[in-house]
Amino acid sequence: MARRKRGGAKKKAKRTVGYAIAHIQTTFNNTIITFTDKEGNTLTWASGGTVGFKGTRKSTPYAAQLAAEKAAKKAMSEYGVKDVEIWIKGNGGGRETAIKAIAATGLNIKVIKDVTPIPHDGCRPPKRRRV
Amino acid sequence: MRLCITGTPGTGKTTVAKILSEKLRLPIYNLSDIVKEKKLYKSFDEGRDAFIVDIEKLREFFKDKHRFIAEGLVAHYIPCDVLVVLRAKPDVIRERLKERNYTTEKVEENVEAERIAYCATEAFENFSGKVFIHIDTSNRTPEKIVNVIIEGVKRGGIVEEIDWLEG
Ligand SMILES: Nc1ncnc2c1ncn2[C@@H]1O[C@H](COP(=O)(O)OP(=O)(O)O)[C@@H](O)[C@H]1O
Ligand SMILES: [Mg+2]
Repeated sequence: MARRKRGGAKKKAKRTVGYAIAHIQTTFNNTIITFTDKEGNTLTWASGGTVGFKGTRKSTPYAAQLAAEKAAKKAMSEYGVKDVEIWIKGNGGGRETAIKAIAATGLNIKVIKDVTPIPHDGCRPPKRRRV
Repeated sequence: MRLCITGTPGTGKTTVAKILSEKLRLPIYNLSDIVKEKKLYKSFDEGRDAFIVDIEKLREFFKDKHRFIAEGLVAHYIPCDVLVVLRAKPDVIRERLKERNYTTEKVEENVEAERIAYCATEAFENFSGKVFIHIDTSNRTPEKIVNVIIEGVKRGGIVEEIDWLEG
């Protein structure tokens, strides 16, 4: 394969991704938000840990809010993301806050899909009632 | 004592319950078996080939029982004195479940369910008993886990910090 010469330490210009997917994953002790393109390539992510929280404080709604804001703002400023699909996974307390925080940044939310995996071994728990 | 053991398939509930039941002289209820045998379900999930447990019926079944170990992925919905949540690294779950004749889809959905702490999250929210034990089984033998549980009961609980989302 032909090798292309790279010019010095020049930073690669980031491409524009108008339509992205915001994957929110929540547990009882953390929330992580990952923005990807439609093919699933990661653009940026943030979590309760990366916004400066440790231990039980990673699980607070405030940590989820900050993480969602951080990831959303970076997706907008660095990739020009305008429209998003939200794919949410998990029953942790950060669910609603993370969605609200993404909406508040001005991103246009097209759909919200619940993709929570369910443990099963011949039996499974019932789906949770959501308001 | 009413002791419940919950966790993703492959975390070692059945293995640990057997050792515990000998040490504590308590009868074991395997919830997947009981749910099918006593029809404690409300419908069937064709896609997952699994009975959807009826939590009310499950609770009703255990209402008049006071000495037991109940183990299964819905054990945290049963009122109890001691609730044990077993966790394992997602890669460990994958290796353990590959040994079963599960489809790749079934293995991977369970791996993901462990990653997002499905059972643990529901357990933390539902718990109303006295002793809560949340432990990582990844690098422990079943005997060691049983000792940690017994120690946890004496100490009034153990909650290890476990987060597979970001190491
Ligand atoms: N602590 C452990 N270390 C290594 N292997 C284990 C451990 N606990 C269980 N196993 C093995 O993992 C598999 C799943 O264990 P099992 O008790 O059937 O889990 P569960 O009932 O939670 O689905 C079995 O093959 C078992 O022998
Ligand atoms: Mg089992």
